Amino acid sequence: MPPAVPIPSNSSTSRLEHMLASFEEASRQRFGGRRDSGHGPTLPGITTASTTPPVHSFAQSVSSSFRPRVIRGPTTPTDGQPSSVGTRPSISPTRLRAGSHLSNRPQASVSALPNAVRAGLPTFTPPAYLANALMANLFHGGPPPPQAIVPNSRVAPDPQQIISDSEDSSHGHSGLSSRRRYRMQIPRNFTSWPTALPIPTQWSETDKHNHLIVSSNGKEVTFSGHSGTSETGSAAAIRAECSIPAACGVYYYEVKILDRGYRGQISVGFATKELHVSKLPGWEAGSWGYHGDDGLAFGGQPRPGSEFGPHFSTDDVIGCGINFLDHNAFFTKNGTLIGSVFSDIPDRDVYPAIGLRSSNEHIRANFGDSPFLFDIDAHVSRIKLKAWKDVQSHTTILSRSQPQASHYDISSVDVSKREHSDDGLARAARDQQEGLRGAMADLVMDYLVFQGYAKTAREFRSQLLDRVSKKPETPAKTDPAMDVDELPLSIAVRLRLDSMEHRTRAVNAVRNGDIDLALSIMQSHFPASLTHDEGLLRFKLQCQQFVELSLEAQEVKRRSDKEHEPPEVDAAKSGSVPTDGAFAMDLDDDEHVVPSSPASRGYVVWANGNSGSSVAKGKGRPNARRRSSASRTGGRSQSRNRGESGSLLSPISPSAMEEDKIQVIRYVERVVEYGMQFRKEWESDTRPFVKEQLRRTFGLVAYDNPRTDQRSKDLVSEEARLQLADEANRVILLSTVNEPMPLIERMYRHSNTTMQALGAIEVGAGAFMDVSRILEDFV
Amino acid sequence: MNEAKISKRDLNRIVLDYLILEGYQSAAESFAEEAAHDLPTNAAQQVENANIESRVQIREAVERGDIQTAIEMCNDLDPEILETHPALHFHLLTQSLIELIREGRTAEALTFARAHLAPRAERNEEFLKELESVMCLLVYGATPTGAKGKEQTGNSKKSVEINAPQSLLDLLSMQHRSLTASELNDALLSSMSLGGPRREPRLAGLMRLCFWGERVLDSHGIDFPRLTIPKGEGAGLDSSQSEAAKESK
Repeated sequence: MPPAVPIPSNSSTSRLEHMLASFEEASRQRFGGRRDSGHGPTLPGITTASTTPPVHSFAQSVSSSFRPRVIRGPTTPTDGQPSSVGTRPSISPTRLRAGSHLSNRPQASVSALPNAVRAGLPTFTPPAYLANALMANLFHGGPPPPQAIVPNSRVAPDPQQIISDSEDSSHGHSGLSSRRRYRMQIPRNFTSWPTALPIPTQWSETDKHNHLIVSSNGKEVTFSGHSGTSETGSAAAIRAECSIPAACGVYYYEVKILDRGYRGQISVGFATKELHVSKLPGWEAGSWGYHGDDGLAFGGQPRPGSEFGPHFSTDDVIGCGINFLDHNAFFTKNGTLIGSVFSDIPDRDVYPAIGLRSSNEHIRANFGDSPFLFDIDAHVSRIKLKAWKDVQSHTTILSRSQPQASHYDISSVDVSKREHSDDGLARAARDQQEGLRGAMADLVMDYLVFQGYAKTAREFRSQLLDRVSKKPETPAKTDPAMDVDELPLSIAVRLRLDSMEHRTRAVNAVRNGDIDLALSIMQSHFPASLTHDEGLLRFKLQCQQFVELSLEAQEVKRRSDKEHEPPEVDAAKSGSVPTDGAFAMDLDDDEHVVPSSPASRGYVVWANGNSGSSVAKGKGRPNARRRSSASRTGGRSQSRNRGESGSLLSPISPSAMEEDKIQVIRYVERVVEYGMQFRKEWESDTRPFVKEQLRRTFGLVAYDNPRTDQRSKDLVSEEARLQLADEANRVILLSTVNEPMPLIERMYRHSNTTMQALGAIEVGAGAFMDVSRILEDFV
Repeated sequence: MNEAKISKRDLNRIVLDYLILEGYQSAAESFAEEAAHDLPTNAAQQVENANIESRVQIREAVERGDIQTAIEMCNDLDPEILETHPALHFHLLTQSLIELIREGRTAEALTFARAHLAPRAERNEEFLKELESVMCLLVYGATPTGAKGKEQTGNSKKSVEINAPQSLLDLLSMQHRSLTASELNDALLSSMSLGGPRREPRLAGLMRLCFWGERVLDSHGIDFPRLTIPKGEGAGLDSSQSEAAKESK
């Protein structure tokens, strides 16, 4: 720590310069030297970048606490005791229902296992169209996961353990830990979230009829046997090496007919393991194929096939797609869509499959290694858009809660697709039937209160109550005499309304950089917020306070430098007595005294305010006071100048300059003193985040211009204040009503989690339901 | 799992969108002001352009049964709206007719139907059917003494009681007024540039997505943690509907 320099009783420019220099030097040595240049931005609000690894994927975080597990059937003893993992009582633990058809699934396919990502995989970039899927980041080409890894442990991890794990590892950001806690509630008895989803990249070397020969790259297949004679006998089929994850939403591959062979009896399509390799895809249950010799589509029965498309033969390129949303298949020929067919393709265990039947038949598959002939991207985009619109226009929200219930009991149903969703009346009928408005209003109310938009919350509430009471059909039960303000409020909302004003004040104080005010409000109204997460918020606020003080000091110094330049600067630097015209001014005693007195008075007030407490508690804004006194001074001397001589004299007297210097010293002093206290308090904290942040914050004084310096820009930006303000808000709510985020945000995240959970259980329906779409087209 | 992140700015936009579309004028105004630094710069402009207050008044006029006023206000707000939405215009006029019948002003109703509705219905099969069923109400006739009629039209001034099949009585219901009001509101919203044809707030879209997802998971036998929304004052907005829904079951 730089030694505390006693406040000089007489101003001395040389001492000032010396002190500034030594302090800057000291901090440079202390903090600057240790910093490597590669530090990422570490905003106070969203720290952890370099200290605590942020959890980008749920899979990562889960894999540390969850063993990869497989969904178990009803025969497995389930540990279905209710576990109140979360603090929200409404979120019940997940339990697999007995009788779920999931139980019939081969275990290996339940989810990709972490070790499915192996070193040395052939490099395969999943084709672009797959990027439309929510879980696209998990797709990788490669061999199937090892078969049926049975977990050793049949007992789900103790949820309490999980929570504490997550909290232990998330020091440094309380928001993160609460988010994580929310996520941790989900997968109990659910399944492990997949960490990787293999997609087919080549034909299986083993899962095939022995008349078929697969090329060494796994793409080409040749029929080497004798041409079959009977109608259904002697065919040969092959499946790809792994099944298609339904999370693709749409899967597509193309087959080029290199040689139609003797009879061109080629079937392209899809099959489950049910298809025997001696049958063409389409002839047996669990297989779907489009046949080249007759253009028929077969959906699991040898006959009759259905008229589907043109025949295909040598040099044709046939594309085969599955739409897991509608459970149908579509085929293309030479880049043109033929159409859709079938309606019973399951979500799971479906493999690309082809069948050959006569000698010399030879095909090559393109699993996305090279560009497709068909514009699959556009096709997927259309499907995606339609899926979104279907959900939006066919989902009706019902709310059937009892009047006394504390929560909405919301469910959704599909309205018949026959109803024209564009018909105004039909839509209005849906609106009528729906229980959407009440819940929406309460979501918005919750949000306004959460974020502390006090004025809006009041306006909204009064308009809302107005509307509720005006409702023509309000049941007569409501006592008309009842004051609208007496209407029942949910407890959570009431709690937050009560403290909202204080909270808003505290948050606004942070936003304006008045950390002292924020801390004192929080101390008196939300003490828990200052001890929450081992005082992390308090630490961050104090960091910010240091930042504010440093900036102020720097600002004062800069202004002081500026006011006295250019000759004054030189003078100040050398410490010699200024010799410019200002000094020659005819000054009387009055002028010597007056300019300095208001400023020093200002300082005394400020210093008194601090006596007995740390410098940090100082409430003064000496900045403002100084400025006003300086302008007063300037004005006075100017008028005097004009009156007396009207000469070229500088309006700034040397004593004003001195006074500025004292100011600068005092500001720097304050920073140093505050810094010492601050450091003392936190240096024993072992959390990496705290250490790092402490270092970064103190490093600030080493930079000439922290606002532009790359290393400190993020610390001093306006954005940093705003983020800290948001965090303060969140922590206050979290520590008082245990509410880490507004319900709307929760709903947003919940939707996303739900969709990915669908992918995790291999259901394709939610594959394209990207919740962020609701934000599109905002003007 | 990919975590969905949503910024405060986007949350604020969702909320502003709700306030505008659902017609909370003063709340929207103060929100645009209070949340200004976390909203797009044109937020206040958007609020101003949305004619929230007029839309609310028009809606209320329809829900009161004062269709004439509603039509006049519509024309003030957007002179083309009724011309470009013939079905809407027809439905408003039909609602007018229903209000006349409700009040037992049979003669006026007939004149009105002949003057305004019949010409439109001639050109459109759908309209004709709708007009016919409304006119059927007249056949059942106003029977002011029919004290046993179940339909209580609530707050109407001089409502008469009509014994008619339920399908016809539906026309007289408050719900029907609300339907008309919604249709009109939707048309007004669509005509404003709020980012494509908009009918409902984005928040509603989010709810649909959310509860759709839960249902699909449920249908696959996964007992997923549910998102619950605590009831607050908003519950009053749809209490009547949920009861109606229960009754209809």
